[in-house]
Amino acid sequence: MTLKNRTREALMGYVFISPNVALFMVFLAFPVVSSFFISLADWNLITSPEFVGIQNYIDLFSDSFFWKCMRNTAVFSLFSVGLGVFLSLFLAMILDNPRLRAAGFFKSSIFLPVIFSSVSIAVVWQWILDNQSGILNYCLRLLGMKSIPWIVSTKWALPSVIGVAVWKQAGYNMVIFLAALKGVPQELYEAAEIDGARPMRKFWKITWPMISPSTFFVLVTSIIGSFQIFDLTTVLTNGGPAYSTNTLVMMVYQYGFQFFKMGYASSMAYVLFAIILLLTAAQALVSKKWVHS
Amino acid sequence: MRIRFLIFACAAMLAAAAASAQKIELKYAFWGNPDAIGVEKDIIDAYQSAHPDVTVTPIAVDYTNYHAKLLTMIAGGQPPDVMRIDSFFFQDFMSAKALKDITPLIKKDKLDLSKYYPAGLGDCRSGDKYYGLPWGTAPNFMILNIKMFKDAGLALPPLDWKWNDFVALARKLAKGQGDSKQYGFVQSLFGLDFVLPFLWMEGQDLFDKNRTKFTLNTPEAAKKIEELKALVKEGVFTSPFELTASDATLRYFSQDKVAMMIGQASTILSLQKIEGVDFAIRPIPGTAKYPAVTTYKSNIVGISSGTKKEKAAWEFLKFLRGPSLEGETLYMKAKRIPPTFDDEKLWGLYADASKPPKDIAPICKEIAAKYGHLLPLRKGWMEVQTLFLQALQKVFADEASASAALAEAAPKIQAVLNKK
Repeated sequence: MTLKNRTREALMGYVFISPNVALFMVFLAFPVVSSFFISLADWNLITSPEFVGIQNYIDLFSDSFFWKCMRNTAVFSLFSVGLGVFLSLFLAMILDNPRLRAAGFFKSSIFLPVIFSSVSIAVVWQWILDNQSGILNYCLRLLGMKSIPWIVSTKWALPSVIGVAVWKQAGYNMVIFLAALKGVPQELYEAAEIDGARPMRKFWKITWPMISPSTFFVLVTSIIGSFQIFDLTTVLTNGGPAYSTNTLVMMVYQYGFQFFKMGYASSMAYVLFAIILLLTAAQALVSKKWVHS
Repeated sequence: MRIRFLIFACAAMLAAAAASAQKIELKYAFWGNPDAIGVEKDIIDAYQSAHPDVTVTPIAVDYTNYHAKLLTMIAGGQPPDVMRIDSFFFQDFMSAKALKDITPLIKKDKLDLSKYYPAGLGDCRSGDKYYGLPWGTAPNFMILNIKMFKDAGLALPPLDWKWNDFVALARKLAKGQGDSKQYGFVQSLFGLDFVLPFLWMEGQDLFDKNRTKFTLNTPEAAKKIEELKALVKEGVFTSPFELTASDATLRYFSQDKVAMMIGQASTILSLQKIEGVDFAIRPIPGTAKYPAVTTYKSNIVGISSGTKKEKAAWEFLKFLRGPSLEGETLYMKAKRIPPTFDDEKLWGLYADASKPPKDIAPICKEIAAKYGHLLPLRKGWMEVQTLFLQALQKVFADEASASAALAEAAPKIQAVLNKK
């Protein structure tokens, strides 16, 4: 191949990827870079931005509401990811059993919440968790128990939101785990059985290492998703009661689109970005020790 | 033959181009259901048939996203020519120079402002300049559940009832436990307009007269907030965390679980749609010293400072909100909002004798004359509201005493007020 042909081929390559590159630049790269500059300014969207240096970041770190939202988000992330991974793996292992009847029905039922929008799910759960007329409290009362103020008490609201989020996301992660379980070679189990290994030992020594790349994927995507929680909390509790379910992304929205403080909102978005980046990097580092390659 | 046809075609195209060049296109933004803009379409149709040279393009956005959308349009250099703005955001838009000063246009056309309720005009003004005309000037009513009053053997209170009468009634109306629990009143933290009346009745206010200093960090304000909290603890008022959405409040009211609640004109519309619900309205009760505590609020329709069609936009605004009542009459026929003008005919169109509440017109007039209280709106209102409601939420959640919560919120609110 001559140099001219190679150049022409390379040029054609650039032409073919140029639509994607253009879209990436316009809708991702430019907003990401420009929002960093906005985070260094005081800007209400209409008047010209006024450069304030790192003042937005200083204000943010001394804002008690920010720390409250940070705590809520961290608690939500910790429990929704922890419980979510455990539950979806547990469900996948049960449904992976070839002797189980109607496994397809159960898989579909568990996956169903994934295809519904978070908003519609939140509205339905709002009714289910209603303090007086909700079906959950009705069932508790039928069993002779006291009603639980699921979404109207500062103690119960965040656990309730976590519960709904875990229920919604379990199906998606379960499908990933099911695919991973199907990929574990049966010979390994057969060899272990010949050696007299018990089920728990087989799980820890064979299943867990073999599905660890999928577990790593589920963990990374779940943590990123949990830090971005917005729609569920907005509709289900609107951040309440007493801001006990107000999350970081809700705060970004409130400051950006209700108070029109784009600079402050952008600084929050960048802090959130940094947190997610650090967590993902940390997971990638630690993964070398436990993810089977 | 072919040449003649070409000349004819060119002439027709030129004529069409000239006609479209003369046609003025106005963009009119308002909040509402984008799929069913209702009366706004009737108004636009009526205006277009009276002004065939103008095309009005509606931009309807749901309320939650509406003001952010407006800002985005303005920032993107594509502002609507005429736009509705909630009075909570008006000062922010005004100070950002997003709205045109229409005072010279009002003077030039000798618009008779005396026909409007003064409360509505107050929310459209900054200093002595007008930046819009009022839309939906209405009080926040105290809405009473007539069935619950009847069941408890209680007469409806008079218009000049006071706080003590209100608490006594609420105590008598609150009863039961568990599923059958009934409350006297819905204690809501939806917004400052639902909370400030209780502080106004103690002679307290959010800001000083210049609206530059936060003035609610006082023992009197703290005492009143603690009093409200005690009524919640007693089971007379609902917890503000129990009914966090307006539809839940409506549900409780229509299921006879709450006897009294504060509601807006839109609440009345929603209640009228629920079959079998009978209700009355009253001013929010004050005290002998401070009887005028019923929140009065008006939204605004203004002209964008970025419009290039000022004359056409002004003509449309006059049709929509002017004292010629063309647009207002259509709104009244649709019973969308109460009249912004003190006009019997409009009240006749708005008030529906076949539906509750009875006597809405005289009660509204009485409120406007004796019991109305304008919100001390200013730039940064939404942020101040959030900071103040955060403090109240802490109190009602038993996380802080009222005085501690107010003391904590005061410097934060003051910082918002101090910003230029």
